[in-house]
Amino acid sequence: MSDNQATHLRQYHAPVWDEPVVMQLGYPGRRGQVFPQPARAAVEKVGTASCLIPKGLARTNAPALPEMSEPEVQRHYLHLCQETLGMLNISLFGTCTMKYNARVSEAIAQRPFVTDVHPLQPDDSMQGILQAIHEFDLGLRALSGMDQFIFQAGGGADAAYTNCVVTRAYHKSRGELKRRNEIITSIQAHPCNAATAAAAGFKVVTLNLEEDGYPSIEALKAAISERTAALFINNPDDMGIYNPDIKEWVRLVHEAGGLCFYDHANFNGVMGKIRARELGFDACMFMLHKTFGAPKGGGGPAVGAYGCSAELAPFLPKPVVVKDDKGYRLDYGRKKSAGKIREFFGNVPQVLKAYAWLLVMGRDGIDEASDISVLANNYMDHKLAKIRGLTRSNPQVTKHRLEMTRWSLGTLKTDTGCGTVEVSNRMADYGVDPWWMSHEPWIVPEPFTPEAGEMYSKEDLDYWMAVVARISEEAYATPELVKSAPHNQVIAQIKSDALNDPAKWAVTWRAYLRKHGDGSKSGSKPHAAE
Amino acid sequence: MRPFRLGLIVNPVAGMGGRVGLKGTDGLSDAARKLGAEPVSEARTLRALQRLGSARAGIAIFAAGGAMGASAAGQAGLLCQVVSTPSSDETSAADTSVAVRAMAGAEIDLVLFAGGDGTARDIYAITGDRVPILGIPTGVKMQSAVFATSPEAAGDLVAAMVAVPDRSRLQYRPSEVMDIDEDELRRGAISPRLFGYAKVPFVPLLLQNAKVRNHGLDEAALDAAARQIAAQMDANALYAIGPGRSTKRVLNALNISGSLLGTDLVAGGQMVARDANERTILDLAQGRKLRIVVGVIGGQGHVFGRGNQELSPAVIRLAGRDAITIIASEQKLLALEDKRLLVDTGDLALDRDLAGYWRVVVGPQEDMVMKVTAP
Repeated sequence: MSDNQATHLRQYHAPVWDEPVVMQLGYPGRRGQVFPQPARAAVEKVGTASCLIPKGLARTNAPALPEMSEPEVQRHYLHLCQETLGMLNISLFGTCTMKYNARVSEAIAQRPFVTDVHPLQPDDSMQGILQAIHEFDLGLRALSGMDQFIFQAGGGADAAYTNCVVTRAYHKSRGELKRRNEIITSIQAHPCNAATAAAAGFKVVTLNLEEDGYPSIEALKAAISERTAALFINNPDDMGIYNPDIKEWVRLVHEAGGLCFYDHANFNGVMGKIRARELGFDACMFMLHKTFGAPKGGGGPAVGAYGCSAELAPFLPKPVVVKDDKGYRLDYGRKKSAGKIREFFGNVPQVLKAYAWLLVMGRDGIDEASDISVLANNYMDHKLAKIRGLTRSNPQVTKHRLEMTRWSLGTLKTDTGCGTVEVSNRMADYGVDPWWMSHEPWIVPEPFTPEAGEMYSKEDLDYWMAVVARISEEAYATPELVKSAPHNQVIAQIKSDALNDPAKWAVTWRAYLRKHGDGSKSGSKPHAAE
Repeated sequence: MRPFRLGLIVNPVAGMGGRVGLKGTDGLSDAARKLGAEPVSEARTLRALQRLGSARAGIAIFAAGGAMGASAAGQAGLLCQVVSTPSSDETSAADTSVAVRAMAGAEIDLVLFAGGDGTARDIYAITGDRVPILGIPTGVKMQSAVFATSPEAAGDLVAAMVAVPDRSRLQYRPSEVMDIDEDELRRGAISPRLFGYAKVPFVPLLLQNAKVRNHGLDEAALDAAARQIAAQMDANALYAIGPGRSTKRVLNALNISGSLLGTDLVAGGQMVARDANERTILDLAQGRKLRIVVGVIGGQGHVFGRGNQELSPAVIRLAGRDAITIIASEQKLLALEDKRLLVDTGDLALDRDLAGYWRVVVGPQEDMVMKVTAP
């Protein structure tokens, strides 16, 4: 594709299906699959299926499920997919690494040796799965220098919480937990660091960013004390600026008796380049559903891979997959273990997808992917800077950013009244995924934080930036057009009031009926905007 | 739906003294004009009004007459009801008061004014914390936290308020009204005072450069932090609880009522002196440990030297750095332009001693490390 084609904005309009909620679809008695009756001999011997269910567990009423044929179900989800940009567009999202989820990995994770395994079956009957988990653990050890990984945490925040309970168990074992009750973090570390620390009972001490685009070492020194339990930090954080003093930071915290946790949410810019353990960190976390190519968001459950040093390993939640001379097994007998974060040993299909990604990429591939993602971000930095109304955060910092950069639409907002929300809404009109604004708190006005990653082509990035440039022009020429966007979407602006109103929100159909009445009887359909 | 009732007051001479070095225009507009000062207020008001966009249809404007509002509204193409007439071409604080009184009687949803600290103070004297106000920044001195960051931001905020169909859901926050005595300032003596807390609309994403966690949670966090400070008080120490809404939460936690704008002295959980001056603090601190709980002035970030001069260099020295607790909401800290706190006690050596990194209490289990700088 030529540059010209890449930046030619496509004509786009989302299909409007006015698609009902699935619970409003279907007709009594309609089925997608009709299962054969069991053989008479079998019924005579063991009874019907319902006889096999203990009385206490059997439900008295049939569940309220939509009754539909298979093509009707497929069509319903096709419509929903078409109405929501389909998850295969250019999505630079913001503060999140978006990667293509290879279909071959999906196919692997759906094989019977994965889907038919139960975590309570004997270890020797699932050696293959345990081997894959163990080998992936070894791969992550190689990338981080840590001594043991577990995959129990169901996401990044869950892994941060895992770190909190390991930290707690470690200080408790040394009789210092009462005194060491403070976690130091930064205002731009992922908010889950502060949140999980507070949830685990720690006091949170937050550092602000300074001239260099990260907190100063003097601020860190002012925060460190004999009460310090740990430092939870991202490097780079969402500003995209690498803190070159990080080794000294770790040394200072260790000197005071605290632990250091590297939140690798932004690993893409440094993968293959640095190893957390070599920088002195005691533990780190990877998000398999971002960096390691497993699906994110609606694509399936997440996994926060948590790894730590040998010193902390005894405190890890159990079970841990281990290898001994008899093969692979789940080690439940860990006396110092902090307990459980979730059941069993994690979202195994996601672990396998990430393992497939790791094997395909290899060491050199990971190294190159990191280079590409940094190069792509700096290419974008160069081009975005030319768009009117956009400014780069920390303009005084001239060194290159890593895999992402926090940008501001503060100028555009002042000039035109169109800020990050309005621009994001308008993006959908051009068929690209709206960016996600950025984590709170917004210390940069009207922020957005695109992350190109290694996967999107130069043409994709050019198209995306052409959309942003066009919207900037629109904002200066016809701000109302941008403020009232989206115009080419299924629905116009979503009223978010309902999300904050317990009287309106409904996450189940039953709750919807309770709060909004039976839509089918009144003839009105649930409003998609709510 | 009832139209949004917007009061509009322009101080036509506000800001004139700035460029000609008069440090304010209170009572000096003639002098400013003679020095060649040009009015700036009306043009800035127009910039704000031009941002109302489609919200215009939902607004009913109640303006002070002539140059005090109606003229700017007219130039912006907005119809308005004139609620007062300035007594003469040379408008005064009295004219502002007459206009605000008329508005306060007309169930106004918001008084939008163009001016500086002096105007804010005149308006606050009548609206108190009952009628919401919002400043279009046009003055010379703007230490109060009632101003939008720019005329455009003020216009955007009004438009955003009009767009909220259920007015009961609009959010407000108590914001400092500060003013400096201009005569003293011209003589070189700065004595800014905290006059009170006006009710200022707050729409996350629009007014402030910092979008922060839920406002309600911020308040709850401060209350909980104050309860913790109260619970951990040293029974033998004298506590000087500085002015401001954040610090007074500690008194609330002790179930004693203090003076919002002054420093109150507490010992053993009891009020020892309300609204104490420096002498009283030093006298009562004799023979016991003195501790200070102090807040942060919103918008500018002063910890000492603004609105709390009774916490003098002598008082601060007596307590010592380790006996000072700063309490403020995370929202207030992150909204500070350069994320710095300031000390300006009038004693440079002390200011330098106080400079450096401090922990500010933002919640019961949360501190934020802030850099404090000396002048």
